[in-house]
Amino acid sequence: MSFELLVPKDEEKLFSLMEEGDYKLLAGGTDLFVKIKKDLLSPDRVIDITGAITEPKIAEKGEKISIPATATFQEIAESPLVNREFPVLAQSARAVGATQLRNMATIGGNVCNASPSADSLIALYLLNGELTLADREGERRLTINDFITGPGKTKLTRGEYLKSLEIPGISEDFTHYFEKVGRRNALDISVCTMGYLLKKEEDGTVEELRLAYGAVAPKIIRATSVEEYLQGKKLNRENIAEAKKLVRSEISPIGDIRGSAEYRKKVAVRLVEKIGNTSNSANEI
Amino acid sequence: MQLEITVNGKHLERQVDEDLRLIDFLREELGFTGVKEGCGVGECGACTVLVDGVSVLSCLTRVAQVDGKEILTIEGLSEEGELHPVQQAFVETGGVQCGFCTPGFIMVAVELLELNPDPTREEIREWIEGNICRCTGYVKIVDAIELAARRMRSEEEKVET
Repeated sequence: MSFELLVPKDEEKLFSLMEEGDYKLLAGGTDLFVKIKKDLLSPDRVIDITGAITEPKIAEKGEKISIPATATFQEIAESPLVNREFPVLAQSARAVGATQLRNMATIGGNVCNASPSADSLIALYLLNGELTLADREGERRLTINDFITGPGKTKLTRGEYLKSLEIPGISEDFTHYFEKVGRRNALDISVCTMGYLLKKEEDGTVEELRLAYGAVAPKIIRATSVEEYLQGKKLNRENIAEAKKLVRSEISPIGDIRGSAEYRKKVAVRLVEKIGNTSNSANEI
Repeated sequence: MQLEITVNGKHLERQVDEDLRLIDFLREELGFTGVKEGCGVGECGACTVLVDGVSVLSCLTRVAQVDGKEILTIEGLSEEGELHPVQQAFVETGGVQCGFCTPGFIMVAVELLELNPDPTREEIREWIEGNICRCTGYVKIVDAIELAARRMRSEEEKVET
C-alpha cells in the first residue's frame, strides 16, 4: 500500500500540508503503520508532525509540567521530572508495549488514537491532563476528558494537531498506583487497567481519591461514584465492599478476543481491593 | 526523495520513495539481510536496528523518518573481523538456535549494555521483552547478555588501569 509521506520541517509547513487534501497525522507510527499494513487504513497522504514541535523536551512551566506530543514513552518513563511529580504517569509509560515500541510510540499518538485500553490515558485522566491543540488560527486548550469523545474518536478538527500536554502539579501527599491486567506482561493490550491517586488523613480516613479504569467502557472512566463514596471514610472491609458494588454500575465492558465482558467486570471489581491495602502492596509506586 | 543516511558507519545518499520501509531499504537496497522480518507489525522484535543508538523496529519505520540519522545493524557490530562481545557471548552460551531472532536480540542487548553496563537478570529479561524467540532459548539468551556485560566491564577496567 503506497502513500505519500510528508515530513514538514516547521509548523507553518504542517498547516499548509493539512490544507492541501486528506491526510493522516503521524507521531511515531506504531499504530498507524500497523493499521496500514493490515489494510485497516489506506491514506493517500501521511504527515509527520515531529518537525512542527519546537519544544521537544519535557519541562516545568510554572505550576504545570509540559510534555510535547512527540515525547516517546521511553522518554516519559525515564524523565526524572515525571518520576518525581507524576509516578503514575511514569508507571503507565513503562507498561506500554516493549522497549522498541516505547522508543517509537508517543504520548500524543496514544491520546489521539483514543483507545479505551491505552495505558497512558489512565494517568492523564487521574491527573486532569490538559491538551494544547494548534491550528493556523491559534491554539486552544481542552481537558483529556473533553477531548476524547468515544473509542477512537476525538475533538481534533481538520487542520489541527495536538502540540503538547500540560499536567497540573499535584500534592506530594498522594499515593500513586497503576495496574495493568493482561494476558502477559509485554506487548499486550490490556484486559483491564486501573489507577488511582489517594490522599489519606493521619487516622487513615480518605481525604481525596481519584480512581480511573480503562478497557471496561467506551472511554477511560473516572469512577466518580466510588471517589465520592469513599471520601471521608476509612478503607475498611465494609466500605471497600460497597465500593465494589458501585464500580460494577460504573463500567460497561465488551467481550472480545482478550476477555469476556463478565471476566472484565470481575477483574475491575476485584481491583477495588487494591485501594484498601496500599500499605503493603507490591505495586505501590 | 533524496535520502542522506549513515548505515554501519558509511555515509550514503540515495534516491528513494519516502514511504519505503526502513527494513526494505536495509535488506533490498543495501543487502543487510541480517535485519529479519518476522511479523511485520511490531510484535516480534526480529527487525530491531539502532537509530542514533536507540532501538527501533525497522518494519514500522519509513525512510523519510530517519533522514540524516545514523543506523546500526548487526552487520555493523564486528570490528576488523572480530565479533562484538555480545555476538561472541551468544555463540559461546548457545544463545542461538535457529538464529532468526538473534540479530534483533543482539541489537537490543547492545543498547541495554550501553545504558546499563551491569544489569540484573530481571533487568535483562525486561529489556528484551519485545523480542520473541520461538526456539525457546531465553535462558541462554539472558546468560549470553550477562556474560557479555561481565566481559565488557572488565575490558573497560583494563582500559582505565
